[in-house]
Amino acid sequence: MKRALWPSLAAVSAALALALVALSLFFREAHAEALLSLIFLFALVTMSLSLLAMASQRKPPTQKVPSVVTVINCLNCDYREEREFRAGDFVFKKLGSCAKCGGELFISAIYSIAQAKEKT
Amino acid sequence: MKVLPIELGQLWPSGDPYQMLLSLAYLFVFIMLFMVFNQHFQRLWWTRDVEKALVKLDRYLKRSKEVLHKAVMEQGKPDMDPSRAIEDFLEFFVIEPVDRDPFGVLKRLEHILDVERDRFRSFVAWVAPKADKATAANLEDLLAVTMALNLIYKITRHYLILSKRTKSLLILMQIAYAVPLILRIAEAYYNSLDAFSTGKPIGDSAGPMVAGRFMLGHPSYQIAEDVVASEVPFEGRKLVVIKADGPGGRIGKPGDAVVKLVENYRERVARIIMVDAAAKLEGERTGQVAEGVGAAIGDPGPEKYKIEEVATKYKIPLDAVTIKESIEEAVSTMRKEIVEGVEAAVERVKNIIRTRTKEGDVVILAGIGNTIGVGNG
Repeated sequence: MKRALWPSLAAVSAALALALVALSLFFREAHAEALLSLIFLFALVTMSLSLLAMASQRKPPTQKVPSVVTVINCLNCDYREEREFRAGDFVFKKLGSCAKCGGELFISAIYSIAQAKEKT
Repeated sequence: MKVLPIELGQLWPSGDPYQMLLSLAYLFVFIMLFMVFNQHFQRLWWTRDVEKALVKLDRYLKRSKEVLHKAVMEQGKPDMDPSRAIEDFLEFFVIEPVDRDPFGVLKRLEHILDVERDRFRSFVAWVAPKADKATAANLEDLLAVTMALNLIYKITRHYLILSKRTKSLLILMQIAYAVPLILRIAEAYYNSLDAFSTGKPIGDSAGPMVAGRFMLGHPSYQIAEDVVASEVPFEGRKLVVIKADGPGGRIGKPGDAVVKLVENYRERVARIIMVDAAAKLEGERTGQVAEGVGAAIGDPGPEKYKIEEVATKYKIPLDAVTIKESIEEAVSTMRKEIVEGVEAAVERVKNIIRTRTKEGDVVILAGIGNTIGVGNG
């Protein structure tokens, strides 16, 4: 549970409890005042719920941790390889000769594929 | 004994004074809450929002400083502890030239930007003496990101404190409503730390990557400050491709390069094609390629002006090809959708050359943007 939601949740619970008390009063004694209280408390519950909805829309701070892929291609043939990014990689870097045709291998792209989220 | 002239019970039909008192109390609380203390509660709510954002911005700034310090120590291997010098340099500022008299304002702006770049370079060379050319360029970018986060934090804090001191609800409201956008920009910078500290290509590298695709396998030479060029034969045409000198995080001066090439080839230049990353509108697809006319470059002015000026002088058509991405994507590690956009942009450029130029023509292709993580092909 997000910390920011606790006050709103407590307010909703308290208002609901009060509404239940007022409801029991209404059915037991049928007081007009109890009905008034009930309407007021329902308004309170509705407002608390909307506050709860507003608070839940605020996202916690996250740092995007992308998984980065390096794509290697051959200049002559259709050889293609994908591996994890390594320090020193850059696009168009030459990586020696192709095992398939002897052509020149180079990095054709480096990109992030998925973005897992973790709390900062 | 009768104290009042009437019975209290006559005031309400039920005859239960406690229920009536309860109802009156509810009514009183309701009025107090939503009419008298309304602004007070709103102030507390907005203040809490801005303070929460400040805590987050402070965390981003501290983390950014840590990453910068680590990168400088590991990649630059300085003899002294650069923490104090870095902390001082974060307060560095640039004063824009006066524009009340606009004559020559772009030349004056260019001069100030040159001085700023020199200061950045000399500072990085001082705190990171062992860093090679590409690493030093990446450290400059990392320093710029930390400076941006520092500025964002300080401006947000300034308006919060100002609103408290002046008790101005107007100032507080403005900063509170701007906080989501401020956080969005700050998060974009924060998420770019990984790319700038490790030299991965970012979304803004899309333009240089398109240029690099054409330069692949062809020798390149330096044509302007931090800009390289390659002469590439393409279906009977001479394609002169320019991009910033990679793989370090540089933008260079593409305006100077285009001017030099046009002055060299003059009337033989049939078209200037510029490829750049462009800010997408919300709802647009990342990596979408769009085509238009004009100088596709997002610099403060001087480079764009030079290209427009020389194109107008020799009546050369300017084509613009853009790859759409958000501000967050522009400074974060390049996404797969943008790589696909690069492929599409390469095909679009080829199509422009085939359909709008003829054999024997000279075509200038400029890949605009930060070339971090992208070599020269």
